[in-house]
Formats: sequence, C-alpha cells, structure tokens
Amino acid sequence: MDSPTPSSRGWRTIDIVTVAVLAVVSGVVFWAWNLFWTATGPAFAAFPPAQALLYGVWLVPGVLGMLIVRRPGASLATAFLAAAVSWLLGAWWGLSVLWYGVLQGLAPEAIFAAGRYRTFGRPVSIAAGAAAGVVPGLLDPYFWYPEWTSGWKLAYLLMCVASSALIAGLGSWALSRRLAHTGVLDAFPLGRERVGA
Amino acid sequence: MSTATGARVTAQGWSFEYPGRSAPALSDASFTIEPGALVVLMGASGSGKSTLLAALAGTLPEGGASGELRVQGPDGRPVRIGVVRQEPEGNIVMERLGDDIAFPLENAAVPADRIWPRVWDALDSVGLRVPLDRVTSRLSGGQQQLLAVAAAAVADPDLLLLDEPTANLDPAAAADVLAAVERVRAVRGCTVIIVEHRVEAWLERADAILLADAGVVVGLSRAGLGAHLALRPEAASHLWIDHDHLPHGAPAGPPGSTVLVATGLAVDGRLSATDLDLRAREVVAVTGPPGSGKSTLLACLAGLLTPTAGAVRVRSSGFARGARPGEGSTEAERVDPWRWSSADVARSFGVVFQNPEHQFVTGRAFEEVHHGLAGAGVAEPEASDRSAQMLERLHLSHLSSADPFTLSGGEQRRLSVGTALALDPGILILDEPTFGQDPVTWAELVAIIADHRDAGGSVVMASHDPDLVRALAAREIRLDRAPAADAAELPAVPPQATGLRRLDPLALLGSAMGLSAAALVSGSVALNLALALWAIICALVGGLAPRRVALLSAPVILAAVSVAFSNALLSGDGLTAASSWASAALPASRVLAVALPGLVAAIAVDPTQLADALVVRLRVPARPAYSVLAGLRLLPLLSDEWEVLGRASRARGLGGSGVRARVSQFWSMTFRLLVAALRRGGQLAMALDARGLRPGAARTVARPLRWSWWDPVAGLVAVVGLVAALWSRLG
Repeated sequence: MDSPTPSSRGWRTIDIVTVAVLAVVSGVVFWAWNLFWTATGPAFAAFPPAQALLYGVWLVPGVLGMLIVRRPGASLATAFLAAAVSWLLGAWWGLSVLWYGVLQGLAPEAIFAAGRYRTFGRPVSIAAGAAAGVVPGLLDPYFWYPEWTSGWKLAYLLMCVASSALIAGLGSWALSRRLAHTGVLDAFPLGRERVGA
Repeated sequence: MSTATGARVTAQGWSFEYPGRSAPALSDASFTIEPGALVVLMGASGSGKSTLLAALAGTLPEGGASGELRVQGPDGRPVRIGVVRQEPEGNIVMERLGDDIAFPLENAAVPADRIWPRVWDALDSVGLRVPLDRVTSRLSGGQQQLLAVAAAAVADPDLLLLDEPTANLDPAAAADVLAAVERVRAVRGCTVIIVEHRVEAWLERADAILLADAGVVVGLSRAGLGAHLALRPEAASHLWIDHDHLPHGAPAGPPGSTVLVATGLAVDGRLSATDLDLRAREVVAVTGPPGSGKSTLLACLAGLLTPTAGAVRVRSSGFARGARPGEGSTEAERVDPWRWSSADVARSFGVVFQNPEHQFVTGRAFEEVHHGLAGAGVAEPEASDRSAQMLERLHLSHLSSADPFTLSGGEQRRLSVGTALALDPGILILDEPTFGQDPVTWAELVAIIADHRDAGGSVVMASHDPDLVRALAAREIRLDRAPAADAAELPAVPPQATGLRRLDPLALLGSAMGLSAAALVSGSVALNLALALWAIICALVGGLAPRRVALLSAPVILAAVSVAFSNALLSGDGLTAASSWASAALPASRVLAVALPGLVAAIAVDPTQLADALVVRLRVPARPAYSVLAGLRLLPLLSDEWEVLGRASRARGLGGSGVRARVSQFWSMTFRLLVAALRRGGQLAMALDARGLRPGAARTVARPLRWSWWDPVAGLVAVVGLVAALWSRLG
C-alpha cells in the first residue's frame, strides 16, 4: 500500500488537498451558518455572551482535519486554511482571523502531539476541542470585550471551552466516523479501519 | 513538432488482486499494444477495465500485482502519460484556462518563455477557441473535457489514457472530444487507450480492441470482436454497440388527462419563459444545449426553486396514490409548488437529481426509502413492508443495510429512483437519469420509468440521451436559449495591471497584515478610525468595485455596533452610564480597523499570483502551495453544490420553519457537502499527481512576477501604522 500507517510522517498529495478541501467546506458552511443565524437568532444580539455556546462550530476544522488526515501539522494546517478561506470570503474580522486560525490550530495540535499522533479516539478529540476553545475564550474578551466585568469574562471562557469540547471535539469525532462509513475516507487510515472491520 | 512516436504497452500473464479481496480483479492478461495505436478498452462495470487503466496510470495500490505489465517509451527515456477522467471538473486544477494547460509544463521545468507557445499549440489542436484568461469553472462540461485533453496533450505524452471522457456529455460535445483526441493523436503520434460505454464512434477508428470480460482481458481486432461476442452474449449485453438490444417501450395506452400546466416560467439569467404541459401516462423529455436551463426548469416544476416569473398549476389527480387523505379524490387544483411546504412537495413529486448522492439523507439503503414513507405519516408495518418491496423491485434487497454512499453508480441511481417512487407520487421528475450508466443499468432504468408511466403516472425528464427519448416514446420539449458558453461572454479573471492589483501580492498582504496588527495593538480611537478610513480610500482609489466593498463592509460595521453594545451592557456601570459607552468606543473602532484592511486585501488579491509569489519569493514548497490553490478553486463549485443540496433537502421533505427542523436540515446538508467535497478532493489529488506535481522536483513558474515602486510604499505605510499604534499604547 502506498500509504501510511499512522507512524509514517510524509504528506501525500491527497492529504494536502483534503486539508484544503476541509477548509473550503468550512468556509462555505460558516457562510451559510451566518445566514442561518441572522434569520433565527436575534436573541444573541441582546445577550452577546450567549454566542459562546455555539463557538465550537468555528473550531471543528482543526480537530476534524487531524482525525481524518492523521499527520503532524494537520490541525494547524486545517485551522489556518479555514481561517484563510473565511478571510478570502470577506470575514467580519478581516486578517485577524489568520492569527486566530494559527492559535486555534496549535491548541488541538498540541493535544494530538502529546499523544504522539497515535491516539485519535473520543477522549483525545474532546480534549483537543476543549483546548481549541481556550483560544477565543481568552482572546475575545481581551481584544473585543475589554469592558466586561471579570465575572462575565470567566463565564465566556467556560462557555467557549464547553461548547468546543462538545461540538468541535465530540462532534468532529462522530462526524469522522460517519464519513468513514460512506467510503469517502478509504484512502485514509480511518477509512481502512472500516474496510478491515 | 514532436519527437514522441507513442509508447508500446505489453502485458504478459499480468494479474492484480486488491488487498483484502479474495478474487483477483483481473487475471492473466496478455496483450501487446503497438506504438501510436488507438485502442478501445471495453467491458461491463466490475470487469476489470478500470483496474487495468489504473495500473497503466500508476494509481493502483502497491502489491497485489503479478506477471508483467510494461509501458515503454519510444527511445528508452522515462515514459510520459497523460490522463483524462470522466468528471470534467475533476480534471481541472487551476482557475484560469491558460494556467491549467501551462501547469504540467511548469512541473516539467520547461522554461517560462517556451511554455506559452506550447499552450497555444495544445489549445489549437483540441479546437478550443477560448481566451487564456477565462475562468475554468464557467466552461461547459464539453469545453472542460477539451481543456482536459489539451492539458494532457501539452506535455507530449507517449501514452494518453481516457477514462469515459464523454460519459457526462451530450452527443455534440462528445463528438468534439473525439475529434480532439484524433487530432492530438495525428499531431503527436501518441498511443491512446480509451474506456467508454458508448463506443460506436470510437470503434470505427480503433486499431485494436481490448475486451475485459469477467476479469479476463482479451486482445481483439475489430472483426474479432463480433465473433467473440457471438460466443459470449452475456458480455455483449453490457456493451453499447447493438441498439437492437435496447428496449423500445411504446406506452400501454394514450395519454390521460392533464396533470400539470406551466406557463411562462422564467428565472433571470438561467431560463427564458417556457410553457409546458404534462398528462397522465406520458413522458416529456426536456432537451437542449448545456446552459439552456433544463435543470432550472425541472427545479421550478418540482417546487424547489422560485421562478422570477410564471405559474404552475397542478391538478389533484396528479397526486395519485400519494395524496393526503381526502385530497386525491377531489378535483381541486393547486398552484405554484414553490410556495408549498417541503412535506407537500415530497408527497407530490418524486425528484431524482443528476447526482444521486445529493439526495441521500440516511446511512442505510433501507432507511433511504423508509425515510420518505415515515415522513409522510405512513404507519408501521406498512412503511417497512413498502420499503422492502421497493428494494426488491429495484434488485437492491441484498444491499438494504449498506450505506447508500458506498453503492456503485448504477445502484445509487436505482436507489434514488426508488426513494422518489416510494410515496407513489403522480409526477416523477428526473434530471439526466442515464448520465454515466452502462447498458444494463440503463435498461433497468428505462423499465422502471416505463412502469411508472404505464401505471398512470407522468414523467418529466431532462436528458440529452436520444436513445432514452426514443425508448420511452417521450414527447420532446426543446429549450433553445443560446448558451452563455460563448467565449466572449465567459467571465475573465480581473486584469491585475491596475490600481491595488498592481501591487505584488506579498506586499499587499504584508501591508494589510501590518495594519491589522497595528489595530490590535492601538490604544487610540482616532488612530483606529484613521486606519479604517485609509483602507476604504485605498479600495476606492485602487480601482476595486465600490459596490463589492460596501457590501462586504456592511457586516463589519454591524459587528462594530454589536461590540460597542455588548461592552456597554456588561461593563460594571451598565447601559445607562455615559462612561460605559465612552470606553466601548475603543473596542468598537478596533473592529473596524482590524477588519477593513484585510477585507480590501481579500478583494484585491489574486490567489494564483499569491501562490506564485509564495513559491518564488518565499520558497514555500510548490506541492503544498499549488495543492491548496487547487483546493481553493472548489469554493465556487461547493457554493453551487450547497444550493443544489438545499433543493434536494426540500425534495426529500426535510426542513420547515421550526428551529429543530432547520438545524437537522443544516446538519444533513453539511454532511452531504463534506462527502461531495472529499470525493472532489480525491479526484483533484489524482489530477495533480497526473500533471506531474512532485515534491522536491525542480519546476518553473509561467507567470512573471514583478516588483513595482508601489510595493515598498505599501510596506512603509504598514510600518508607520505599527509605530503609531505602539506610540499610542505607550504614550
């Protein structure tokens, strides 16, 4: 087989393209997601911290990219490219999404690296999601909501982490299993586990 | 023009077994293909022909092969192979037509000044008369396949492999591709191996035939083919050569009463005013050139798209057995299906999309059929019984617990027809139902559609398959709007020689990043506003479309307001204190100053040039840079796909007004988009590999990069902004 047990570290073309494609999909989905919530969620405008409950959606790429590709750097690459795509699409936060993208990729990357890129199960995914959530949980209040009381800032951080652990962590894990079930991941270790089973 | 005289291909007792499978995919193949020959490789799905083609293209997994399979170049040098695959979009890697053809030459390190003449030559030899700066995703499928042939031919291949290159094309476009391959072969003398279901036209020109028959490959002459098939009628039934095999089903009786009338249906830019009426026991075929609005018309009829003008009346008899209780028997008439609930749409019309995967919403074939029945309120055990019967009728019972996405193309098509028919809708609406089908699955589809018609149902289908129109004795409605594929009308990538676009992409991006960073550091509202204003001035003076800038800036301004509000609300003093609002001004102005420079850069930057600059100036490795660039090209494609998925959801009865229904629809669409994107990613990776993009290899860049004196100015502005920001924070 031309490919990679989890221990082989070189990126194939399909690994690179897949990471890019995941970033592009998240760009399209985030754009649709924005439209979706402007229609449904004016409630969040009245009470801004509530947005943190959905923050995990934006952190899916960094975890999902690693669960599928399983190469060192996959979290960072997917999160950064997803940020670059939202920048190209004209995201609200301009180029600052790139800084966020790097940090939101490095956080889950660190968790997977701590597992020496060998474990990709549910607990690691949840931890990686939670780690990603720390980034906006700290940065948003610092840059954008400096006037909040510290109680609100703490509540925001906790909500970000919880939402990311659930949506970006557990959600990405479930999504990657479901995708493997369809056969589209047969070129990746996760897909081959399906064939083997 | 070329030194290549074609590769010789020899197989001697070659067999291949996929890892983990018990039977070999292909066994004991022995044949010789002479240099410069045109060879047609034929066989049913699963006969091993794809395995052989993949082996020649070098994309088979390692191991599992035995015997010998050799491709020898004309003079002992490494052999060059060009590949064209079935899915037109899957063959394209670059945003601009010229760049796409130049790409293989860049990867072969051809000097930049010698690339463009060869690009022109290749374009000329396939007969594609489109300027080099046109956007590849806007070409028609036929033009895209001509482009793929040009890009495969430009590097002077010794062997050209074509994997069902015309399966997704209409007959006129297919003939163009055939002529292009013939010209390329005449000019370059390469060996050509083609796999195709509809082979008649190719057979006339073939020098030899390879027939894959139940895992065995036989080399035959044209005369030998007839003799062989006479002995193997089963193999013959899978080949598209004898039209007498095709069913010709005249309807069981004359058409009944009218069930649907559309008047003046039009969609801006996509469909000009069209009338259509449909009766019971009738098949209507909507035909016309690509871009004439066939799919758009079907989507309007099925209530999946709101037209800009026109009306549709649906007679209640059209609801047939799928009608809600009490409604089927009345003579009521309902209008404009795009105003109905998705549940009503799903009950009234059975819709089959061009790509079956767009409409799968569950993880098992059985659930796929059951989903619609349960959604329409059919009780158990009736719903389960009817689902099982439907699978039985479609010969899919053995796959009832398989994931629909893992089925073969023919099985997926039958399943999607099954989901459409499960509710016994009066009207069946099919978009290109025979795309890429082999004769066996083709005939099965014809039988299912004919059954529906003869049981009193009605069918509207978009198709450019004349055999299908004939087999169903369909009444033809032709759409003749001139396609927008006229070269002059195709959008070009904006010329980059003006205004902000004259900047080097790295200078533009670097300057914008510097200014964004300055805004993050800045402690001054005035400085923030100045940075935001500077970005807007640059956009307007720099020649960007003011409307686009305004459109994209609006949400930023909204975000600034939201940040101000939130800071005032949750500060210790609350909304009423003036001090809350005064201190909220800084983060709010920061939003504007951080976002706007990046936004302007996003509008101005050309991704292809950015990738070139990253590779040439910053020495970023070429393979990741161009692989990512090729992935970005999918952005508009996937946006279009999202729209189609929305329609498919409605056709399947998903969605509604409640938050829960919308969230579940959103999730289902996201999942299907991911599947579609990952499939496209796989094709793209193969196309990149086939075009010779290799890690670490020397390569050239065909597009010139030039610094201008504006570039240091842009850098200086960023430095000034950063210094001012630091000073405002410290001072």
